[in-house]
Amino acid sequence: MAVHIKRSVKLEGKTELMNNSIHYMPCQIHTDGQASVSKYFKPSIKSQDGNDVLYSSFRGYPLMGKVISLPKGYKGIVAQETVKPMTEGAERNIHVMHTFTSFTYWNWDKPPSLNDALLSALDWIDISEVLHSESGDTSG
Amino acid sequence: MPRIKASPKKCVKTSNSQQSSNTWVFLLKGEALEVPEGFAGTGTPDIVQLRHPQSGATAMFLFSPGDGMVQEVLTFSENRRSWFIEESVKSDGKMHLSTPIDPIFLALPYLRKTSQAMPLDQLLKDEEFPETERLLRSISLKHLNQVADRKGDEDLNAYKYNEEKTLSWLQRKTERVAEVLKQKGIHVSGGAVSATFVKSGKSEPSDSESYLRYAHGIVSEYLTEDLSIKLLKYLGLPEEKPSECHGKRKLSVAQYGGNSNAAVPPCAPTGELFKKARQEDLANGGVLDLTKPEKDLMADLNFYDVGAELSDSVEARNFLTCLHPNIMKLAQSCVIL
Repeated sequence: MAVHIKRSVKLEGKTELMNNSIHYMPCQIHTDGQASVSKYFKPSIKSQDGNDVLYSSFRGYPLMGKVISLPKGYKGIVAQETVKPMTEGAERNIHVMHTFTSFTYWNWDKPPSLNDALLSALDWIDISEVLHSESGDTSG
Repeated sequence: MPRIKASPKKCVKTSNSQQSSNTWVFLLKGEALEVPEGFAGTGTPDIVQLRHPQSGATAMFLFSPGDGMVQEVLTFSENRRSWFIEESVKSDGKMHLSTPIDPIFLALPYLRKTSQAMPLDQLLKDEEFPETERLLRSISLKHLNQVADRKGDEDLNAYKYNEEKTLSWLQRKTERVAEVLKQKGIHVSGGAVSATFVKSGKSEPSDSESYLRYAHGIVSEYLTEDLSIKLLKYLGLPEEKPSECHGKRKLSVAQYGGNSNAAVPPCAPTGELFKKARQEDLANGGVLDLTKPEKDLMADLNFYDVGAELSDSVEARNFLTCLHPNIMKLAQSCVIL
């Protein structure tokens, strides 16, 4: 069984998502689908001079956020499966609907820092690069 | 008009949950998406299941078109996270992180299975994981001579595992990981690393041995237990010094409610080596379940025993999730889609 990652036709001619279009929210929102993000959420985002922390609020809760750029060479994709597999173990296709190289990371009322699990998890990328690249030296 | 239902407590799941279950967010190394130059096939980047080299359990991997590159898919999952993507909301806040993995790690358990030279295409045959044969096309397998010796005709492509070479190859990797840990200033010295891994600016200077030990823990995530222990010896890492160990043990006991296994005497006989290796992992900040080390060892020994796999897969995931604070929230993914 393999899951094939394909480009969606919808992706043609589309530029990557800007970081103000993809937000990693610090809450569980129990719904999926359309939402007027640019009408109700985006206008509340403010930045202050002199630091890179963003401020906003969502349903009355104060949020603090930061734009996170993915490490060099890395890419974010949002992929969707349009046809559910009929049987278990069948070949499947998912389609890339969006791509991004940065996103906005939000916390409740505290500025994002390396104490955040996700941001420190990104350290793993640098470590894995070193661990899994072919060593320059040769032997045997 | 579509509404954002966000009040965390009151809200009920709507029937429109379809979209959540069929959309995924991945961070991956871009190369995996590119069709390599001169590749004429119609391949796509493919996510497949392979045997994890440490545990033998099912794990997810991503092959680039033409299978030239392999990435390991880890899952970042934190409670209470959701996505806003353009004008839509996605309730499932998981993020899948895909990073390159040296395919030799994946081939190693198959090479070690036999003491004879065997053609590579036969070695990498796994009935339970048919996709394993993709490894044959992974470019870096050309570097297989770093862990094995080619035998017979070149056409035969037969290899025999060479432990001395393997350990030397692993040593180089471990040393390079230790170097990057040092550069990044990741806090590795035993006592100061808590399970919550608070990065503090005022870290005490860590000696190179601590970095090496920590790097050994990271490399060991891709090795079976026995090879991991052999590597520790090969690196010449001494067993925990009593004083150091004392501090760590205190921490461990405090953290894990006086788990008796966490208090293995620092200078136990070699029979205790296994437990000790585990204890080091613990000292590295892990929240490892030390209550069943023997069972875990058995699972490793029964690498190809199907029966051992179910429990093993759970253990393996806990292991990775907990072992390294810096990748605390990353777990191997058995099933992501």
